[in-house]
Amino acid sequence: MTIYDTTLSVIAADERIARFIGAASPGDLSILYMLLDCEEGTGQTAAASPNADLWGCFTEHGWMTFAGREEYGSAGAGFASLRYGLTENGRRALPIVMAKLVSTGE
Amino acid sequence: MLQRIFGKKQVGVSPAQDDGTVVLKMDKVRDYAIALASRRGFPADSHGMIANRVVFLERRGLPGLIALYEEVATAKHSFADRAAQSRELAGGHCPIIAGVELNVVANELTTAEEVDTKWIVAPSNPMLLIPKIAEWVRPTGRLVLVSWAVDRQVSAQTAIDGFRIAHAGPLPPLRYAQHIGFCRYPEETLPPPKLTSGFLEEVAYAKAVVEAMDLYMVTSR
Repeated sequence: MTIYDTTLSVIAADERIARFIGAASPGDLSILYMLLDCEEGTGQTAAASPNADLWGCFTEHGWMTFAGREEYGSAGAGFASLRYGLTENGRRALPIVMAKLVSTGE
Repeated sequence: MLQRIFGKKQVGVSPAQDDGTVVLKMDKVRDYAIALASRRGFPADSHGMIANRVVFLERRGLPGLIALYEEVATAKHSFADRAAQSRELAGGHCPIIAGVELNVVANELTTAEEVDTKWIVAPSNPMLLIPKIAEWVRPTGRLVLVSWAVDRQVSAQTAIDGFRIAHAGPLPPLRYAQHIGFCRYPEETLPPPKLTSGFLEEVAYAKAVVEAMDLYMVTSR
């Protein structure tokens, strides 16, 4: 199977991917493009956000890797952000995912 | 140091450094590319696309801005005549127009097996095709192997996926190749290429080159 076929199979088998992409904001999705366009670097997203759900799902499929959690503010009233990076598999698969499931281009 | 470039468009550049180079951040690279495309007479709605391609190359360590400058500054015909010429020439035609015209065969070019490599006559400054090839394969996950031939000898090769490239061999074939070969990268038999995405946020150009681009843009058509 080609990477294209494999990726489409994953999308078909896991309905969360399309659902989480639909719930992510254009700004969140644009970060994926920026990560793909950069050799290094991680993206940050708010914990418990729709985008965190998306990146967590991508991590389960080996397309992203969790890179850390930062806490801001006082305990109980603070804010946490999560960092993720792309894997090699993700750099091949995510352009396909975005082409299939994201309605706008770059 | 601000220079007035082609009417109201201004491109601010850093002063020359002690080694005689000028540092351009990518926003300035983009500004220069837009100004060069505008000065040359490319349609206004293509300027952003051309600038994106130049930045794509520069961020990956390839001299895309030089390629664009040479393409526009050495042109012997008006843009309209050059566009018409592209449909008649067997090689050396406009690389921007070539990218559009090759869209119809993009699938064929990027899925060929290595033993059946598809060859095309190269446009001028063929490096400017690389971002277009990346766009072709971006939604497919394909990895393409592009061969650059000079005097019918493959002089360099570039592996390209949707956002990354890996170049093997000298850089001049990316400017002077007369033929370009396309096939899918034989991942089953060749080691994986060391693909890299954008990693540069600024580039250093010789002061004389920047001055030449400035001069081109302020001279009359």
